[in-house]
This record gives sequence, structure tokens and C-alpha cells, in this order.
Amino acid sequence: MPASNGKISAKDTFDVVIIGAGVAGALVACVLAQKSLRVLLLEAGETGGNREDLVLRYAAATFKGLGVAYAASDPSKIPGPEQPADPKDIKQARDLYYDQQGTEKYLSTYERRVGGSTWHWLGHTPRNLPNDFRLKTEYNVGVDWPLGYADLEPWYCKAETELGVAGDDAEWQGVHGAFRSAPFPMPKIWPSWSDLQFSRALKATPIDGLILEVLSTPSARNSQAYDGRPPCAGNASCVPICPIGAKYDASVHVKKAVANNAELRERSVVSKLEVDSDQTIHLVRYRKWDGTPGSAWGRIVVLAANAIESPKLLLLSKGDAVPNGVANSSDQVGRNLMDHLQKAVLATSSKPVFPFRGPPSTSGIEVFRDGRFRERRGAFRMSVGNDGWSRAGSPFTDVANLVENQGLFGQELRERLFHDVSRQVRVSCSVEVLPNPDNRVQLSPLLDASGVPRPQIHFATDDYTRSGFGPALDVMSAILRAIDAVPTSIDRNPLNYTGAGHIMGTCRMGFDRTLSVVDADCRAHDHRNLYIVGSSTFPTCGTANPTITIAALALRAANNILATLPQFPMPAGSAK
Amino acid sequence: MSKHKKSDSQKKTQPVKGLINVGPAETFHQLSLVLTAARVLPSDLVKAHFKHAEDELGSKLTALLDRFATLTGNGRDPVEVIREEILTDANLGPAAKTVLLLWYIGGIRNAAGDWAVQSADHYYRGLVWDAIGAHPPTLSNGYYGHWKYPAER
Repeated sequence: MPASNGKISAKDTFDVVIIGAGVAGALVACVLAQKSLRVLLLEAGETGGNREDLVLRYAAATFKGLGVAYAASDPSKIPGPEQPADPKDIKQARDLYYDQQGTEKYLSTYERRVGGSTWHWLGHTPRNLPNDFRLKTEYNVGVDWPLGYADLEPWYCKAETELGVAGDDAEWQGVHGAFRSAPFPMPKIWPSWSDLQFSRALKATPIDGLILEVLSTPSARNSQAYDGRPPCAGNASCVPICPIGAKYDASVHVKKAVANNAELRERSVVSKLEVDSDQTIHLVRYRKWDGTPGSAWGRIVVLAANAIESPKLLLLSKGDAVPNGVANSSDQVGRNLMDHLQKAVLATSSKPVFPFRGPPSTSGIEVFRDGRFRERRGAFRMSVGNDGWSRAGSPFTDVANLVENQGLFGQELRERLFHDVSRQVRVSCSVEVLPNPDNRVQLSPLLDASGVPRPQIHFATDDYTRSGFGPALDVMSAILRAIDAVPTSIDRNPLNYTGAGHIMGTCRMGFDRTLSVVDADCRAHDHRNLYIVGSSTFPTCGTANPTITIAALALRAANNILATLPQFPMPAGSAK
Repeated sequence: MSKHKKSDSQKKTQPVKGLINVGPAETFHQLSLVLTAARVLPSDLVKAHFKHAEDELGSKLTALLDRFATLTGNGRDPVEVIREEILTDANLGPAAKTVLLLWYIGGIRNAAGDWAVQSADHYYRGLVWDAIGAHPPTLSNGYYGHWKYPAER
């Protein structure tokens, strides 16, 4: 019998304790709760206000940053890279939280709240490609995953049903060899007027001899009423918040889990995983925001924070039995931090494309996501924007320029604004990053406002990724010429990029326990009742937005948990 | 935060000259109609933006309204007045532009370069969205798929 249960009461004893109420944790909680298991969902953040209040907070905000709608009721208790302890520091939140080392900064951030960063994700759900799982075998770079596309394909289908993905089966069947065994649960999100102009122009204008197909991007955004949520009304605000819940966020599955009797303990910051003498982990220690210590015991423990908070907790949990931290006999915890690195080109089209309407992006170009070139440089995925030059502050910057610098007013101002802004286009690329053990998350000697070590981050790009930007910019330039659009500028400096918000790596999966943290089932090599779910387990990052792969792996892990649970019985005398 | 505190003796705009029996609020309304080329401006927003402009601009708003009322009261075309007499004036021009941007964006830019709106309502009712053929983010009032078609304005 695990010694750690000695002083834990029945109310704190569970079949499964899950740490983190983002998309991975919520899905696992929901699946297990539906099987009538006793499930605890621990979340460091809080549920916060209702959706309408969040939307109004965003609209009234002076600085309309990613996290502005989501300020916690007591920010000092839950500082993060989007939420400073003092709200006046919101523009510096990332650098106040991350202890950045080295010359390049890690740019992507996340939200610490019930539902996690899915509150402000775009909703795109392209799957990984078959070759994304075997990069080493195919191209002799990176590493292979311990499972292949065919292994995960049924779980992709289940994930698409759970999240509610709209997509076009005909377009996506067999893209780069990615077969589909079931249809998308909803028809595709309609393309924008701008998408149609791109599509028409590129059919008529080959780029380097290729006809580039503009495909509708699969999205967890309703194209019709689905799962009790309405169809998208084109509010153009998936990032930072969908005002009507047409776009999926993980609060959906948190609510379903709770409806099936899972217990949600929010405002509970987990501080330590206790390792038993048999190397199992059952006892989870946390601290409530009011300072009250808490503990929970689980037959199985699931770590479902993200690729920064998960390794942080594993490293924080070091002890005599695990001097390098929990699940870290391989010394891989925290290593191989990745992201998709982005460059955007803004341009002016000769004809109106009517941006700032509909989802910020509804189509993309997928052809550059795989090929022999991956032997020497990163692949990239391209997206076509419906959001004009919003990344440069438009349309407010346009109004200010026309008024302040050009002295326009009255009807002339109105006409010029329409003329200029209706022609704004954006194309972007997201370039693949290889795993690099030196890109890592460690514990900083600096503490956050709640007294917890901040994540110390070292991140730098290599030639593989930097070499991907040039071809991507060449293609984007050619595409813009094809639609008769003139770029404002093209920045070819490979060090000038933005993060995609796709925080991956740091607890990677693999066959070899000396080189990885978890196995293909997301089960820790070192602790057989500990699961780690989320994009932290990705060995490589490919070019797909990670959420649907996170969801597929989480559902697969939940299934595996059901199978392994009998190996870890309840303590004798525990009330169920 | 307003640059002009309540202790500022110039905070309350003085009655304008030139427009008989027209107070500063109505002059602000008339000025706003010309600046924006709007046929109608909602009375509650006129009142709110006038207050916001008073707080922000203080005596500069008084001078702006005084000049506008005087010149237009003399029978000059208000568009011409703004173009030739106000926007070219080193003091009045920036004040008029602040008023115009308040209407378009719903707020006034602060020292950090961000637009401080007084409420979500003001953000949503900025004129910029209709001018560009779009809608404020989070409030489309649209139907599924409207983005597939050209904007109507």
C-alpha cells in the first residue's frame, strides 16, 4: 500500500488527480468522469467572470493585449506571462514572469485560468502530417515519435468530434499522406471574400511552376449549431475572446466533467508531487490562494499544465528519491522547448478585400509543410489573414495617421479610410523548429509574487529554422504579386519573428527512457502511475497548430488510464 | 488620466461667441458634425464626448469652440473654417483632431500610445468601424458566413 495515503481523508482521495484545467486536463477529466470515476481537477487559476463580463472588460480596456480580458480577481496570487501581479504592468507581463536567458527571447505566452489558453486561441486544428512523426527516419533531423500517424488517426477523429471541428473532407483527405477515416463533424467554415480572391489569383498564376491551393483551415469553430453552442457570427475576435462561445474553449469540457461529478478545485497552485518508495506518485500537494495548504491523493496522477508549467512543477518536486526532479532520470525534463516562429507580411491590394470581418483567418496554404527540403531547413505553414493590418495597430493607426498627419476630416476622411483599410491584406508563415536540448525551462532563483520560482528560459533559433524564413518570404512575396498586392515591407532578418503561442516540448515522449520523459501513452517512464499530457510531450513540432494533437493524445492517454487503473488500487478502507 | 484636474479654472468651457443662444455643448455638437460628416450624432455620445474633451483639453477646447462659433456665426462655410482656420492653427488644430479621433475611436490616446476609452460602449460606437465597412471586434451583429461577401457600407 502506498505510504503516502496515511493521513489523507476520504474527501481528498480520488481515482485520478489531474493538475491543470486546460484542454488536455479537461478532456481527460471529462472522459474519466463519464466512466463514473472519482476525479479531481486542480487548477492554479480561477474560473473568473462570465463570458459577457470578459468581453466588456476587453472592449473597455486601454491596452487590448491578449490577457486583458482575463485578469484574475487577485493577480498577485497567479502571476503568469500574460498576467502581472500588478495589472499596471500588463505590457511587461511576459518579461516579469519569464527569467529569460541568452540573446533571443522566448516570445509565446499563456493564460493561467480554468480553460487555459484555449480562451484566446484562434481555433485552428490542422493535424500533424505522417512525416511529422518520423522526422529522423525520413529526413535525418530531430527525432521520431514513438507512435505514428496511423496510431493517432482514430484519436484525431474523436478529438475533432469532442472539440467540434469544421472542415472540408474532400480538401483534407490525403494531404501529404494524412488519410482521414471519418468525416469532420461539421462542414467547413466559409472562406472570406479575401480568401476567394487569393484562391482565384493563385489558380491563374503558378508560383515556381506550382498551382498553390488555398485550403479552408479546419477549425474548432462552429459552422452550425453544435454541442449546444451557436454557429460563428464572424465577430472577428477569436483572439482574444469569442463573445458567443461558437469557438471551442476548454471550459466546455470542464463543465462536462463537473456535470459528471468531477470535482474542480480552482485557485489551487500545486507545489509538489510526492514520490513513494515504489516510485509511484499519488500525493499532490498544493496551496490555495488564501495560503491554506491542501493535499489530494490519486490512484493515478495526470500532469496537464503546459510545456512551461509542467516541467516547472516536475523540477520543483525534487527530493531525496528524485534529486533531479520527478520523471527526470533522463535529464530531459525542461529540454527541447519549441514554438512555431512566425513572420507576417502586410500588403496593400489593388482591390478591396474587406478585412476585419469574420474569423481572423479562414484559409491557408499547406503544400510547404513537407518535402525533402526538411533534410536541411524547416517546413512552414502559411495562413491568409482576414484581419488586415491589425497586428500593426490598424484600423486605429490608419485613423490617427489620416487625421493627425494628413489633416483629413469629414467625408474625405471617411472615404480614404474605407479605401485604405479595405485593401489591407496579411499573409503569414509559421516555421518549424527542431528540438534542441539547450532550449529549455529551468527553475529561476527569482520568485514570482506568490513565492514560486519563475520559469528560467533559454531559447535560441538555429540555422534549420532561420533557413526556413527565406523560402517562406519568397513564396509570400510571389503570392502577393499574384493578387496584385504591394507589401509595406519585407523583413528578412531571421531574428525578427513572433511566437505562435504554440509552446511545445520539455517533457517529450519516446521509446528510450534515457532520452525521453514519457512513453507513447503519455505515461512517465520513471513513475508508472504518472501521466503527462499536453504539447509538452511533443518530440518535434512539425507545422500544425498543436491543439488537435494535444486533444488526440489526451483522449488516447485517458483510454490508457482506464486500462492501467486496476494496477493501482484504492487504499484499503477508502470510501469511494 | 486627464491632464486637467477639477481644480483647473479653465475646466468648464465658457459660452461661445458668435452663435447666439448656443452653449458650448451645442457648439461641440455642431463642430463634431462637420468634423465627422455625420448626418446625425447620438445625443448621449455628444454629451459624453464633450465631457471627455473638456476634461482632456480644458481651455484649448474653449478656444476651439469659441473660434469655430465666431467664424461660422459670421456666415463662413464650416468645412472651410475647419480646413483653413482651425486645422492650420498650431493650437486649435491638435484640439480639433483630438475631438475627431474621440469620435472615431471612442477614446483619447494616452502617453503610452494606447487609446483610453471611457467605456465599452464608447469603443463599440466609434465611427471607424462603419467607415471601414466592418464592425468592432466582439460585436459583429452579423450572420454566419457574412464574411464571404463584399462589405456593405
